[in-house]
Amino acid sequence: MLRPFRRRPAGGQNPIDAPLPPGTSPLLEIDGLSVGYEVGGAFTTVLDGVSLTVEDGEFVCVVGASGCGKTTLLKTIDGLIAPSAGEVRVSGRTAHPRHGDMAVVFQQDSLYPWRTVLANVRFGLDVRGRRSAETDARSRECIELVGLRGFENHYPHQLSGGMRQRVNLARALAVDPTLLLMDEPFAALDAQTREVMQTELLDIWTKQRKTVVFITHQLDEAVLLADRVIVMAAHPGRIREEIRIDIPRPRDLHTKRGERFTAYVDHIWNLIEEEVRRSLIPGTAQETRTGA
Amino acid sequence: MSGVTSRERRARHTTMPPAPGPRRRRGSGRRWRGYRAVVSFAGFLVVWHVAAEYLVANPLFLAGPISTVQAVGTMWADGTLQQDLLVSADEFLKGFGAGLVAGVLLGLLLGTSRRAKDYIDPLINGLYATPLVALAPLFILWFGIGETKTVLLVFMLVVLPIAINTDAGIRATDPQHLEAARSFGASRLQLFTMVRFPTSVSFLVAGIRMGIGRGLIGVVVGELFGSQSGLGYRILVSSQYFQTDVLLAGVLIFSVTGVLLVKIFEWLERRVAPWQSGQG
Repeated sequence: MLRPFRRRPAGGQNPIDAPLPPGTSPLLEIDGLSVGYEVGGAFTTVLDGVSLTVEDGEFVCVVGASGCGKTTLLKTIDGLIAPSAGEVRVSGRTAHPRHGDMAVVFQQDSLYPWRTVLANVRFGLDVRGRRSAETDARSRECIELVGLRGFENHYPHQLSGGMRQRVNLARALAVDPTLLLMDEPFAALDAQTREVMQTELLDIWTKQRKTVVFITHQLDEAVLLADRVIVMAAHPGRIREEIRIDIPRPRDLHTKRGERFTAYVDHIWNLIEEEVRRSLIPGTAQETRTGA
Repeated sequence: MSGVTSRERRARHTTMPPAPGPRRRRGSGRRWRGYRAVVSFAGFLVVWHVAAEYLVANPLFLAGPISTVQAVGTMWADGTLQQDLLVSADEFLKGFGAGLVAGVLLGLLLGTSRRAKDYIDPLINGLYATPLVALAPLFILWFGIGETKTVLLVFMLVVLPIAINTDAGIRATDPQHLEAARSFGASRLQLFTMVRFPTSVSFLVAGIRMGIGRGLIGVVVGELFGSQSGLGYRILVSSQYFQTDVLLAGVLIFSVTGVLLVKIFEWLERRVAPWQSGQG
């Protein structure tokens, strides 16, 4: 049984909660973020002192060996997990799902089987208010954007994996988030579909200019998509290195054959390989402290 | 709901080159299944007919299919069938309706409150394992030989599977679905109405299907013990007069009703929950 170590204090009183004037801070600020779980009295640190800022319109990919806390980081940014120390601020405000400035594209199977494509895409809008002609129109726009026009009335089980992930993306875009969080969205797709989806995502990102934090374990995916790749280390999860990807845009699948591209991927792989090896040595695998 | 009819599938098959690919096994189409159902049903009628006319050869102990159907006609003509049906249908609908409402409410309580489940679950499990029809004599003691005890019996039989399935459905909610909703800022109430409850619908459907069968058993048993009307009563009386044709006519009507109710319900299910079909 995993239980969050500490609940976030009720928001609102914190002076940091007051929105700052625009232009004075980056869109996403992660400040000394630690997340831990108490398991049977023992305290396990998942994230330890993660600090990161993401500028407005930036595409940031987070990679790391499995177990490095990538997904935990994403969920903490979204406010689904309460940090045990540190803070996440979006546009200067402490992050919370109710603020409605973020949307998550999950890995898979998070579409609602009883909702049609249109209704799935509208889900976030339905949560935030009443269904109207406007929310329907907005959802249709997003469906068109991801190239699924004509499938509005299909149910998820009638779609392929790639189409489902497009619906997933459209659902996140429908609420017009300032920050788009993507949790290995293409990991469950086959290699060809994944490559197509990567380029389509780049197209959409170019049009919409959302700020994106993208979690992946595919290094080539990270280098292809990102302005900056954050390499994480595990046990406890922390940032090991930040790499700015200086490959001109627009990028497409040909980018992957470039020399520079391969150099970036190799560099990151070396970092991670080392990390994987280290985590295999007994005794250092998990940093465990006794409870707070 | 694949949207491909058997004819289309066959047509597509014939356009394929004959050599490569495994050959389609003969007789696996949907049409074949239909034929086989007819053959099996006709076979049953023949066996029934032969057994009644030549083996037992005594209408006091076993009426054949022809005289059974004739009995249905006679009962309809003299109006007893309509009367009996009305009484039985009334009992079934009252008991089933009450059982459905109470079952869903109970299931919601069980599915949303861990504490309530801890208290109620042992009772439900005990009751579910008990053949509740054994309570019929007690209900006669309480309510006399009227309709009430049959309605209560139907209710008792229907409420449990519906409650159990509703509860199971709510608890079967995919954590991914909940997390996605939470990430969009859904409140606890919205998590329930937009995620948990829709998930439980498919389970509820299974519960209702079970409830239909059990409810019909309730009607028959209720009417067999201390009743003065209804189809079950007609079956009982006809056995006392050795009218096996009337007896079997009653049984036949029950089985047709059961099949019909399930079919109507499946039709309703396709309209209300179209995502169910085609998933498995």
